[in-house]
Amino acid sequence: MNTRPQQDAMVFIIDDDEAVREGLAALFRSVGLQVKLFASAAEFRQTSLPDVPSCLVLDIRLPGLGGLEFQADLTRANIQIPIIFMTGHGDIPMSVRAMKAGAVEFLTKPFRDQDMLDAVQLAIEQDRKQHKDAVATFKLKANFETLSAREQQIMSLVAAGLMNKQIAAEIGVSEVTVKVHRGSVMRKMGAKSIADLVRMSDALRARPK
Amino acid sequence: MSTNGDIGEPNGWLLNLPPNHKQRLAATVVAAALLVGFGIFAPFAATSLPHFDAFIAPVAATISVTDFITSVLLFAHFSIYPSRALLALASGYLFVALTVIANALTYPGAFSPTGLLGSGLQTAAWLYFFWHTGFAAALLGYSWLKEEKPTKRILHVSPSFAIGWALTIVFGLACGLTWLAIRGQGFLPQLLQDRTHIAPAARYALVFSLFFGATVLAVLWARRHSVLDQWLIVVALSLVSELGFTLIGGGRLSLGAYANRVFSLATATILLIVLLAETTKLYARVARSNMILRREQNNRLMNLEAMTASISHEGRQPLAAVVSNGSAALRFLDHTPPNVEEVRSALNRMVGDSHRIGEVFDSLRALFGKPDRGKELVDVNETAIEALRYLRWQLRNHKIFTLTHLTSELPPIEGNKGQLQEVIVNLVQNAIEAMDELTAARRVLQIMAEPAIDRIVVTVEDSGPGIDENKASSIFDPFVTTKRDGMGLGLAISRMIVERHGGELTVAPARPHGCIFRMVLPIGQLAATPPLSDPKTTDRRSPRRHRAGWVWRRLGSIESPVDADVDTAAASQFTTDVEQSTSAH
Repeated sequence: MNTRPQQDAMVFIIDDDEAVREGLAALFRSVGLQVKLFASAAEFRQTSLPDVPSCLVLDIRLPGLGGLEFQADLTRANIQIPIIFMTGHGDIPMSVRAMKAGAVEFLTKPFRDQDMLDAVQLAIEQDRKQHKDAVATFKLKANFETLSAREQQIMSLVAAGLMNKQIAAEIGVSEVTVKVHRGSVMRKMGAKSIADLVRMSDALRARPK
Repeated sequence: MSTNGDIGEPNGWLLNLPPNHKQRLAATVVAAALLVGFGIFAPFAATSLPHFDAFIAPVAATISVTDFITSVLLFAHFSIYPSRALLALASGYLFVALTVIANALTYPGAFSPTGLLGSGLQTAAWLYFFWHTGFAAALLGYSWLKEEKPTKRILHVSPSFAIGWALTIVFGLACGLTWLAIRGQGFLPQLLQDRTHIAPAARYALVFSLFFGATVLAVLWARRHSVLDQWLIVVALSLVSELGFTLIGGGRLSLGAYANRVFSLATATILLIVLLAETTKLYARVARSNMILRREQNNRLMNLEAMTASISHEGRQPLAAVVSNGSAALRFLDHTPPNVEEVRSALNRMVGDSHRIGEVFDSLRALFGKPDRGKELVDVNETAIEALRYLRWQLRNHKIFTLTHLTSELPPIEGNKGQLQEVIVNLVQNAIEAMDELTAARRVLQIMAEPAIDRIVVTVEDSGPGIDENKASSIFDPFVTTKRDGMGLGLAISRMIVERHGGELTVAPARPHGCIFRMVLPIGQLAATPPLSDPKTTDRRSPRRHRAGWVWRRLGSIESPVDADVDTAAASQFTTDVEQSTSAH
């Protein structure tokens, strides 16, 4: 019983069977997780997601919308929340599809408590990281927006590995001017070194949004 | 499984099936064509035509081959459906196939100017007479035998034995008549004046044949029921036309004589064509129903699978809840201080969930378990006999020598006959499969039923390799199987059925090899004081003492020890006696 997920994490349980919901809720509460229970996917979609690391634990045979369909639905709506599937059937083909679509784990009822808690911890870690990355990217993007057009241009040239002299020749300004712009880019972006700036530039390119 | 006594009885489709509209129409058309042909040529039958003896041999060959094939098909049909009528008909066709050859060989001018085999002028003519009268007699025999009482309609000896005798008799008859036709020229009336003209005696003979043929036709008509009947009417019509042509033609070089040969061809081919057509149709039908059967079987497996899946789902839901609550309770206990409130509510939920699991099983029982369904007094002997009847083709195909020892007047037991039959069928089928690897001569199946105070003991013993001792304990568990395509449910279900009847089903190794399944059933309470038979049959002997000592005699009679060698001839006797005893019921 070494699992100690952070207190601020939340688990959403979707299962049409009340006994299963209650049991799982007790299990998660016992390790200090917050839980929210839903009987169907539709019910879940009506709540707003809190700004804490969270994950979904759901039965693959949901009433109405099926589990896999629901997973695809979330992806389409760009809601990134790690999913742990449960099944009372042990359907192999379904589990393969679920895992391929990015599920964290696929557990067959009745599952070992530790398996479930491990999966939840993994999912929450994944969500926390995802959240952190998203926040960092958002900040980065905000910083980038504060740069002038010339500064943005110079940042990309620096990141491409050009020397000051080369940049000056490239855009037709003096080397001194390049140095000034470059200093202001470093400051505005909060980069501690050139390497830092290159990494930021990569991150921005990877996430253009 | 139906417990209907007719099960496993291939219906003699040709013999028993009434013709449908299309078949009736086809027969009518052919009959009409024959009559029209006769009507057209009969007025000119006496017209003289030139010599054309080369005609004889090919026509005779065709008739002979065709009739031979027809008889083979009919014999084959007989071996599946041992009707006396079919045997008579098959023999008739064989007789014609043989007599036609003799007729052609002795025909003056066909192979040699005077005919072969030392024949004289009259030989071929007499053989012609024998051929047509013999065939008409076979048709009459057919029509007579098919209307016999149901018990007499079926032959109660092994088909191969019957066919062997029929072949011998027909062959002997054909040879004897040929000999008579060759040797008897001195004392038999003259049928021919010279090579081309018939003598007055021939007219009497022909008129006799004609009347005989017409009588047969009338009898067939009066007793027409089945597809075969209606086509035999057409055949008889063709036969009568043949004789008519010969009579009107009055000589060998007349148009009538040639027309006669053409009609002989028709007589010979009609039934063959019908047999082939009907067999092909039947084959298509069998193939189709086979497909349907396989699909049904698949469906049943699918249903079973779906059912198992849904049952397991029903059970897994509350189990998942129990596990979660249990683990939660443990963890809440580990808290400092232990969270007693949470533990209590988790435990409460666990109790509720566990009850729910119980309910799942209750509803399952309610779904399948109707133990009192169809309780009746069951005669164990009869049940065993019917099970064996059901399996008799399988037993025969697997060349299994079956020994049965059923004590007469066993007290009835209380239960469901169909279910008990299913058990015996299961056990026998297992035994058949167990003995598959043995050479045919060593496949011995023994079935016994005997009373033991307040119980009846039924044993099914095979001479197969026996069961691995490690597996003996698990052999009744569901889903345990040694067969490639088995589900492993047969023995599990059998044991369930027997236990539901308040009995026991066990297995033990047999000596020197094989295994004995032993079913002990309590004698019914509903039954009056069980009429136990004489002490000789009530003493409980070990199954070993019965090895090869008992041959199937009359079912239900007190067993009479017959020291018979285990041979295949005796094995075939089994079928026969089943028939006899059941018809006696």
